[in-house]
Amino acid sequence: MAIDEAVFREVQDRRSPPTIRFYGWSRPSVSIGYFQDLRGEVDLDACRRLGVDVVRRPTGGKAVLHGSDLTYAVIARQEEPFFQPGILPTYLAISRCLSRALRDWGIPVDYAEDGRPTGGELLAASCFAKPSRYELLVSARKICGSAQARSKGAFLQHGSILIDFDALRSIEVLRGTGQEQERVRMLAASVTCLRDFQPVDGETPLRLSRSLEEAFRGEWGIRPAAAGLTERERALAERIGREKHASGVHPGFPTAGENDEPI
Amino acid sequence: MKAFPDDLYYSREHLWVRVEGDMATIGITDYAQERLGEVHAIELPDVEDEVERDEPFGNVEAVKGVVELIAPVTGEVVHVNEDLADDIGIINSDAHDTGWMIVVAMKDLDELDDLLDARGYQDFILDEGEVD
Repeated sequence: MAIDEAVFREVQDRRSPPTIRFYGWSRPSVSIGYFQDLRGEVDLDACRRLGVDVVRRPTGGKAVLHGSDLTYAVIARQEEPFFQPGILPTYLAISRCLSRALRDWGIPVDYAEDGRPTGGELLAASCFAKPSRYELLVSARKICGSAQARSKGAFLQHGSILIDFDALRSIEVLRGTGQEQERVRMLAASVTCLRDFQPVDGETPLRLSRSLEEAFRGEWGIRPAAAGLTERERALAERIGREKHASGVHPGFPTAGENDEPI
Repeated sequence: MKAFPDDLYYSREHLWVRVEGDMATIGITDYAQERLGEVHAIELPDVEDEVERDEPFGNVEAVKGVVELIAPVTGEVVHVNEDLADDIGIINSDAHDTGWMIVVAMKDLDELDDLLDARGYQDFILDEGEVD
């Protein structure tokens, strides 16, 4: 995620092109939103016990337990032709691409109409407890959570598409009120994942990323070119990583299993 | 109905500036708060911090988007609106007055020349196609 932030800074300053990245996680990790209270919303003892890293995103929103998901980042200036200005129109433009890919996989996704709390304070820390407008739902259950950061006419949208989902593990690492069993039941009832629709295996993230790339091409009429990081992006990502290490929050960089190749 | 008071300067990053002597009071515009929706959280600099024109000085979060606040002028922060800690809703309900964010002792009053007046700001958001 430090790489995403570095590319975001470079796109803001018009030194990097619009970028789409897909990646997985070498270790299970919780990412928390920019403004979330780390100790108030994440059970750090449980994370340590379960071998779960914690990273802070530059984007907003609530906590996500990564590991059985495909994470995406879309980074662009808002004057690109696919985007109307504003947070929600950008959600919609990206959700159109994501939904196209998921429908190609036979998953009947719809857009959330409005924020719908599904667990109140019981699940307050979890991104997947509450869909925001234009996030993707299947039969009212969330399959993808997304969040944005915006600055200087550019945006970074992060999202997590669930390939598999372990409600118990999410509840173990995220704080909430009430009985654990009830929280697990409520979270499981509000979330779905690819595995609910078809068998998944170790190749699923790669196949899904290819479908998503195809959907972005088809929806926006773009021809993305595979490329590694620029020298500036790499140096900036390393600096952001060092700074966040110094602040006591792991930045998620570098992660050995992370696919560094933007398309 | 969006408000564009005539006695304010406006930045292209959707902040307003009220100038008294070399002091600049800064907040987000009514137009910006309407676009953002309900603001949930804010991060501002401390008194005596320096802010630099065109560089971030804070963040606001609304509806799952974190938006950086880009300084319209350079200077030292001399006041921070502590009322926001008690009621962040005033950013939405009274963006141009009690929802102010910081006061900066400006280092270079010429920077004001690069800001927009009320008419210029309305033209700017029309040009950007940003009016609903």
